[in-house]
Amino acid sequence: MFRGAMLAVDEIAADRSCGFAFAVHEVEPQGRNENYIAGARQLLQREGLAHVVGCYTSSSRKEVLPVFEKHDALLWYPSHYEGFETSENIVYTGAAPNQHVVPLAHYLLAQGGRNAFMVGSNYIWAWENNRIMRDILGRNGGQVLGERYVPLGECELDEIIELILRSRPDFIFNTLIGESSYSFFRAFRERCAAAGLDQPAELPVVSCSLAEPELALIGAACDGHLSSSVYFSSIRSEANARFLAAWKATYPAAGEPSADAEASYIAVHVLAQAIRLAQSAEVPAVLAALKDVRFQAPQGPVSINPDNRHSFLWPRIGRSRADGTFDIIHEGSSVVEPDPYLVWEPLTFSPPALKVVS
Amino acid sequence: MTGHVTRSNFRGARALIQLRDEAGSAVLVRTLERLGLQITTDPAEAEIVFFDADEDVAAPARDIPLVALIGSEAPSRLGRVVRQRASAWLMKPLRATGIFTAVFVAFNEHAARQREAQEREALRRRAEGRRVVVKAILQLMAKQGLSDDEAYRELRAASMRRRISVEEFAAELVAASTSSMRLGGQPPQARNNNQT
Repeated sequence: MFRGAMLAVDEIAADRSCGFAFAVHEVEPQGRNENYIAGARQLLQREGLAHVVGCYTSSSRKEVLPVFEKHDALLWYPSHYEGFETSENIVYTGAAPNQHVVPLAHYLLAQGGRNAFMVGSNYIWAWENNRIMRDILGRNGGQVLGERYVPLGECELDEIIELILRSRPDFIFNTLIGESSYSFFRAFRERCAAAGLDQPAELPVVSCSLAEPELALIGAACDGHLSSSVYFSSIRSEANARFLAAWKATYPAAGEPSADAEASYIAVHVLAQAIRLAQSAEVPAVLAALKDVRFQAPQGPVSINPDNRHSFLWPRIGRSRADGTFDIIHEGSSVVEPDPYLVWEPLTFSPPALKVVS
Repeated sequence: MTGHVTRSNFRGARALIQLRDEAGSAVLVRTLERLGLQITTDPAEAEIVFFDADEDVAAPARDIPLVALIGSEAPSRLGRVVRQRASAWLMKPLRATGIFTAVFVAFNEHAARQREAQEREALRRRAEGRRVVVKAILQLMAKQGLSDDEAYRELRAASMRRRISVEEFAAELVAASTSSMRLGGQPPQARNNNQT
């Protein structure tokens, strides 16, 4: 995320037509919630900043939100998340649930997937995505054969894997985070092979958050998994080619950029464009200009819904490859409006506007 | 779907806002509209009411979900919130955070309360019918020489055939005890085969 944001900062500094550049202040909370509050206070109170790009987990975002409200500052939140929030002090450039889990559920139903086994980290991300997935499957003749949660960081998953093999779902919906997820992919592939099963074909694992850098961490078992995301590094577009070239030139050892890196890159560019349009970096002026911002993002043209401050994005389904990238197997024919509360989600499934691209 | 499914989509629900504070109302309207609710000024069509607990606002005539908007936490004000049976509340000054929770809890809590009221009513009716059920059992025991268990089984089976409650059937039976009305409410000749 930091790299994606810094890439955009460098591009804006190099763009003479901008007339300004960002001076970057940096705080590293090391993933600890208490450090997030102290960091937010330092940036907003002592350093007097108005715009902060950051936070990955929902709990860190919820922690710092009161500090942003108190200082009338804006948090540019560049991560996919579980939705059900529209803060007046946050601009969301990552995917909302109607842009990740809903398209995934629709894709699976269209492929004949009905019965799911859910495994996740015991955290809001998993709970809410599983609720949405269960809801959509339930309304469309599917069911959940099993649902298991493990503590964050837990890597002992053999019991759950045996349970999955016994219940034989059409797919496994994975909402594990970090090491738990990587361990699961490895152990599950190994156990399936021992049982003579072709895991990707017979017991596919689907996720809303699997990204390229994680494939590198999974290792040999990284191929054949489905992921729903608005960005894959394999997108073929002029904007993505430019983004990739800059990424690889700046970070030659960093591997492929993730969806969160792209969302951070979008956040900084959208902020810069809003400042240009508003001729001011003041929060009310920037917010007022948001509705006119159009950014040619690597994933496609992106804009912000001024009403809920979430982004119009491009959902896609990818299948992971052994080389650590994704084949894009489905993508929408149009940009998807953000619906963080799933207000406009249809109650029953109708074939989605997706086209097969490969 | 059963009545116990938690509702999480409030698209199209009509909300009435009884709040004079303009900034607070603006936050409320904006957030409710994002949640898919429609704002109404007509109490007759409102499906949820947000009312200022600091003001003396009359409670709506119909039993619908109420959300109290609380500024002063003084017991006199809070007492009204409880008496009006608000099923959720928000603290002032209003902010976007918390409004979805209030809508969610208000609708679902209100629905649970209505289910409980219905269950209570059904229990009340059953309790009221106890006396007449006992009477009917005693009559059947005396007239047909049944044990109390047999008499109750007969009563239950017959009321099920008629698709009415045991209590209703027992009341009919007792009322008709001097007339020719027979168990099951069918003409006597149709039942001769399986009756002694």
